Amino acid sequence: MVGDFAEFYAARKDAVLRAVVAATGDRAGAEDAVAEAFTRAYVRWARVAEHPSPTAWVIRTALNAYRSWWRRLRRERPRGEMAAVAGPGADGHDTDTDVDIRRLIADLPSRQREVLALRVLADLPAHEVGAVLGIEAATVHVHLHRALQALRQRLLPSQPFSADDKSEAEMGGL
Amino acid sequence: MTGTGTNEDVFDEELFEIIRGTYRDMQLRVPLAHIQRRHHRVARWALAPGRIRLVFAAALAVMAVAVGSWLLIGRTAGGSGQVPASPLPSTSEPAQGKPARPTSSSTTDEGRCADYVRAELDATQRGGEAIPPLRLTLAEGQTRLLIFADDGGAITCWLFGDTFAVQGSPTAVNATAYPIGQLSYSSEDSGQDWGGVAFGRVPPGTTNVTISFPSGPDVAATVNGEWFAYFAPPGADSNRLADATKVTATTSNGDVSQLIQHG
Repeated sequence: MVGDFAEFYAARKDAVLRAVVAATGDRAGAEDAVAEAFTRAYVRWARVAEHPSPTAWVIRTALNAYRSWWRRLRRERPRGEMAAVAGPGADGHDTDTDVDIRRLIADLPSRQREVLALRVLADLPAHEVGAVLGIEAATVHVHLHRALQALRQRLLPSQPFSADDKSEAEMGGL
Repeated sequence: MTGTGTNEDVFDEELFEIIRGTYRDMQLRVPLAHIQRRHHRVARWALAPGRIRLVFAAALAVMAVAVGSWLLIGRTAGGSGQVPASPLPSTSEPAQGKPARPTSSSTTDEGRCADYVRAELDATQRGGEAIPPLRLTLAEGQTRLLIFADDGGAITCWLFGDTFAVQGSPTAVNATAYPIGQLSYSSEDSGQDWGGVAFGRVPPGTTNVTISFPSGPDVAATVNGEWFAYFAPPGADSNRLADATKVTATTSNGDVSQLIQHG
């Protein structure tokens, strides 16, 4: 059983951290919360392993832990400050573009940010994202669509997409 | 229309990859062994039924010793015979530095919570600090929530049947979280699927407090003097607290509102 947890931990810990960092915009708080969530998963591993998505369980637990009031009191801040908190990355390899994109994600409304984080960075299917956040899968799609639309609008002028992509995007009414 | 969808899909995938690339260097630098060691601390707050029985039996044994001592002291010294109100020492102190498991001989939620909070403060080298006054007690189903707070911070004690969880000031840095006479707001999740709560302080004379959300109706909080709280049952309603946008206190001088920022 412990071996299974070890495999799960090794395989998913980074993806979970990235999702929670993106969802919360708080690197230090996310690390605490993710470590706490994996610890709780370890304690209840027999039950968590039977969960339809242990990764979703851990992310939900991490987000709940993060939302506990004392973490929020310490770290609640105007949205504009979030990107600075979210970066730089652990290994110091961030480019300006990385920081810019993280700032754009941090500026999204909280629900869009959470959906984007869980769907893209944790690679959870829409119904699992919905289960984590307590919303319908259809609502997940709506939030994701709006998040991507907002990012596209802000990234298009500066991102080095190929001319074909940009042309297709424009043709598609983006 | 189909062509547009395909272009968007392709473009979305490219955007996904860009986003993933942005976070590619983020790694959780917590070794597995650390997680496995940490579980002893978490286990304190999530006692399994067998452990509850063990703790209960141990607490009974200590109570028997305490009562015996009380009888002996009362007879020899002619004392008042009152059992000390301080929490009982941990009866199952594990070896090798594992933290003490809080126990309580109290039969009331307030007494139990006071014991648990005291143990938590002691465990964090803040044993000399006074427990804030009990401001609000909420109950729904098996869940009971007691909020101890003053202008320097708050500690919540969640009880669900015989299981408990304590959150708050022992690890917080919130020196002026609830200033006197001002509207303040905080919220937390029990972390145990028992629900969530929003609470804070209000100006004197406040009669009603409402919490607003981007969608759905406002909710009314319970007001007790200068404090308010709203209990959100587990599930969607609890998760909704993370999206609350505004808290409004209705006073004799008009409404006072505060926008809520989420980290």
